[in-house]
Amino acid sequence: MVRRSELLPAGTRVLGPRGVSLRIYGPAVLVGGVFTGLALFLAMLSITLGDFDMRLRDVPAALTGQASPLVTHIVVDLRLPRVLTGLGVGAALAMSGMLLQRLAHNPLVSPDIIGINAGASTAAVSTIVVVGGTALTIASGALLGAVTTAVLLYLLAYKQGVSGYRLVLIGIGVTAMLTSVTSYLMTRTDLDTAARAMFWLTGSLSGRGWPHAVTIGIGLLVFAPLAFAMARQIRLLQLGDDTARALGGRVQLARAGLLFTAAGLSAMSVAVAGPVTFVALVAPQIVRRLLHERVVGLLPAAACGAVLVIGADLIARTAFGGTELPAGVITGALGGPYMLYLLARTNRIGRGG
Amino acid sequence: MRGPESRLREPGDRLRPSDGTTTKDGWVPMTHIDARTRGVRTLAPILGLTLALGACSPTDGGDGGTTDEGGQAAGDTIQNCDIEVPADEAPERVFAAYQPAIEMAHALGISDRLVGTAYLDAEVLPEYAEAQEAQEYYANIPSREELLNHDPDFVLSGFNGVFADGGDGSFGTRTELRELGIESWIFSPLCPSEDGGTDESIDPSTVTMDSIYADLHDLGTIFGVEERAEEVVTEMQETVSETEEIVAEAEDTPSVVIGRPDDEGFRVTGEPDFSTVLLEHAGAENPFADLDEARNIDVSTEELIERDPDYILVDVCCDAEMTAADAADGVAEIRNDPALANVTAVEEDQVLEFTFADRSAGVRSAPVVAEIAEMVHPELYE
Amino acid sequence: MASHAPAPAASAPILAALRARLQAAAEGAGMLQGSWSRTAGLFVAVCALGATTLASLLYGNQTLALADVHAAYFSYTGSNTDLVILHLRVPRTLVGLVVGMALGMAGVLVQGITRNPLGGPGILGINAGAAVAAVLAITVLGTGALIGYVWFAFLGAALAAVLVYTVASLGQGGASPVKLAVAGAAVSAMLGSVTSAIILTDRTALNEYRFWTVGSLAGADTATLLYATPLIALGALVAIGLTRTLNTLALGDEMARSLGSRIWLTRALGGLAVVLLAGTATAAAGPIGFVGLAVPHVARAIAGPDYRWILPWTAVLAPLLLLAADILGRIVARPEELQVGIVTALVGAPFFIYLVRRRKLASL
Repeated sequence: MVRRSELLPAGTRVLGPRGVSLRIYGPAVLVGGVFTGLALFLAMLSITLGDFDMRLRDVPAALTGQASPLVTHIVVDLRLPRVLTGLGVGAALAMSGMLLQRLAHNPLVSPDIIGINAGASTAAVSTIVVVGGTALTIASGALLGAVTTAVLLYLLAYKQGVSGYRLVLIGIGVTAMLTSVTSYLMTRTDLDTAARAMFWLTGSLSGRGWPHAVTIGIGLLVFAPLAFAMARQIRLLQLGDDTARALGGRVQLARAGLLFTAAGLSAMSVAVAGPVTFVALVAPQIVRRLLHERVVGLLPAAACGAVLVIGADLIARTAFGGTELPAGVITGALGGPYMLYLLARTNRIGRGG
Repeated sequence: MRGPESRLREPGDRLRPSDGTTTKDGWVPMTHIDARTRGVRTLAPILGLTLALGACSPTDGGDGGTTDEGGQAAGDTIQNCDIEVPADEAPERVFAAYQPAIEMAHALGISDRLVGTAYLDAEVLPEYAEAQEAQEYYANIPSREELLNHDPDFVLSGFNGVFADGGDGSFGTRTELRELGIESWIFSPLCPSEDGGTDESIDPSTVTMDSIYADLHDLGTIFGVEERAEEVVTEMQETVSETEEIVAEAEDTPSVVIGRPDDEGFRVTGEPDFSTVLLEHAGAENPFADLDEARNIDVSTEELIERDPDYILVDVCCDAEMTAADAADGVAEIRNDPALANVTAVEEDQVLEFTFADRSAGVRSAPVVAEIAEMVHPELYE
Repeated sequence: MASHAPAPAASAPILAALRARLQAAAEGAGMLQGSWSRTAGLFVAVCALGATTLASLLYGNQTLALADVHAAYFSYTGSNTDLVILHLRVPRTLVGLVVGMALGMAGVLVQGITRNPLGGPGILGINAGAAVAAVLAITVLGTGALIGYVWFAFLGAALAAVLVYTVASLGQGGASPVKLAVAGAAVSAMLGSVTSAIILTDRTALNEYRFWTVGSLAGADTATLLYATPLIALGALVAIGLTRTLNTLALGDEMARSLGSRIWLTRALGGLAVVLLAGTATAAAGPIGFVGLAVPHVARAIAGPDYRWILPWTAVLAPLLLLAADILGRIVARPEELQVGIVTALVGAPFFIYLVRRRKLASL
């Protein structure tokens, strides 16, 4: 699977950023292609299936405006934007996780852990619990929370630059504070409202409409090109903080740019769908275990994230007898075992990052 | 660029069923709404930039109608939380969500018009058990698609959750449902500040027995069962006033905690909870009535000892099979807690079984008042 | 997939790693240097812990006097004050001490074994395992406060940790730090899914879970103390026995192996100790994540990278933080209480952030 020439002896490191070059790497294209195809297939399936009974031919009819108003409503106003939101959220979360894991050299680092999601969650749960917010105020609150937390994190971690290690530790502290506030709010409210907040906290696509799809779409339009542009800088940063420090200011800039991009992607996705559990952590890990260590694989990761979220949502809204569960319940159940399988099967020891 | 949903919303009549049903003749088309104001109000500043592209959202709330509280018949509509509900043609396919709504539907004798029920906190009252047995029932709120699959023309809800503009666990706002030809009712005076708000945007302490009677009368009119509604109200009023006469004889006003032990100590009801009203009618008082920030409040065991209640009613929650007997574990836990040995309720063996459902305002509130009176004034019932 | 062997004989990378490690250790040396100042510092910390313990007995809903405590034991009258002291304050305080110590030591072990700064008991799936077992017990066995299901919680924690360890051990290279961390995250996510699915469809379970998950000492009674103490003591003994090996492990797997350490044995024993310590603590007080995560870093900042110092410092500082937070939670929001899990994070985290900013913390 891995081309022999790509293999570097253990312990060897290529020094110097010039050693990095763009290559079309076959397995990455294959993995990316398979995940993309799977995501599109699941998307079509999601538009067709649901609690509302309709015939298969109603779907194209609804999309072309030929179906009854109710069926059109179901397909065009409920399912289609929800599917698009899911695809976008999955891709954004996965890319965000990939950038952060590479940045911090730690497979556990994801927006879930370094505090961005925690900030969004605290803000969103406050909106739900304290003022009984609506879809858009919840989303705005979450976005505001995510951005504020990201800025705060960067400022707190900044000390002649930002090291991955310090960022992670500060992230632990900030996350702990925010999470405790969220838990407190959850204990202060009525059971009904707590259930609603819990739904959001698990990460859900329930009731997501066109404004959500448009929001995450814009998020991707802005941040995905940035992510791809920044991905080249990742290898520079993989040399470790000490080496990177020797390389000076360019590294700081690259690191800030990566952090900003990852935070942006995460903030946009958490604003529309809540912190969908585990996607940002597992999608990059899955791709990294399918591809060679040195390949960044941003696109395959994005496709993998989209598959996870859209597949999870499909199960969450069809498999529980007329009641919906949040997609985040299923992402963990889907991604966890696959991750464990890869972990047990692969003969690569795996490094951090 | 406009969101595709605008195709459905703007020509408001497009959704009218083609079979010429006149159910919606009474409703005011949305033409009087200032679309710009709506947009500005609901697009919060942060998302404003990005979401502006989505134009008006499908989640807008409020129809800008008049703002009288409570239901009032105006022509052939009745106002319910800023929404004019048509009263000229009785709904035939009703979905009822939450305990108070389900029980009220049965009480009004419209059980055969129910197409689905959801989210009970306890067993329904024994007199409705048979009627409920025949219903399709969801333990949790079903999805919006599942609701639409029942082809309902009316949603009757005890709380605002199902009409929340929050996505999760919501059927959609009442305005959105109306666009699909579905009318709705939320128990007054639980009106959210605007359509789409949740129960967090209301003040639960405004609920009284009279609000239950008002709902019964209004729903009686809407469903064309005015006489039955009047019977139910009269029966409830009699029960309450009989109880009040009995407890007027009482020499003292026992302090009654409604709550249950939990990991943190005790979760008790505060002033805004409807149980405060129930206790008052039953000649008792809530020792935690000074806590007015939330319906449910966690207090430490030490605090409970200090307040030394005469009675503790242990309320259990929440599923369709729950009865007061399920509180037995909680009762035993309190009785056996060595730290509580000196509390009057424990000393006098006055820790009793209760349910959470009994605390919600609805047709069961009158029998619950009588039940509480009998529990806390046993001397008057000998 | 082509494999590259872990190059057992290549000494150059090992020496390089050792050099880097020594340099890092030098940079990351604690605030207190030398055995004498570390011992003296530890003595001061123990005194502070003693004072906090006393305060925990006296402050709460009502402020009591030392004489009341004395009277409760030696001239018992069955008054409310006596009952509060014997059945609420004393068990709560002692459970706080034991649980705090357990959480801190478990954090040290996990961070030592996985060499991951994000290592807390949660990393081995302990919290997720305890939560899913307790929530399952509620759904299957009926209503009741989660605290009543301690044994389920403990069993769940243990099974989750075993699963994490087993999966991480499969494949080449054994249970490496990265594989442990990733397997822990994957198992936690899986179990978390089950927990979420249950609490989102069973309101009774949600109602218990949302309180349990905060972490609190308020439910602690004498029975809690009686089952928690022996298990935690056993775990602490194993932890103490492992400190020397943890120091070796800190040099990296290859280095440790060449120094003659049986890495798998250390990891397995460490895992066992973590289950005993954190599993019991979580069963007794709910998942209080921040203590195990942050206090070892604080101890490392104070006492340097030597685990023989980190462990005792953590064992003193962790209960200090937990008890102080519990006292604060009792008095700031009267008549309500703030759960200790919340206060610990709100009070501890700013200090932790300050410390992280102030010093270059020794990396793991």
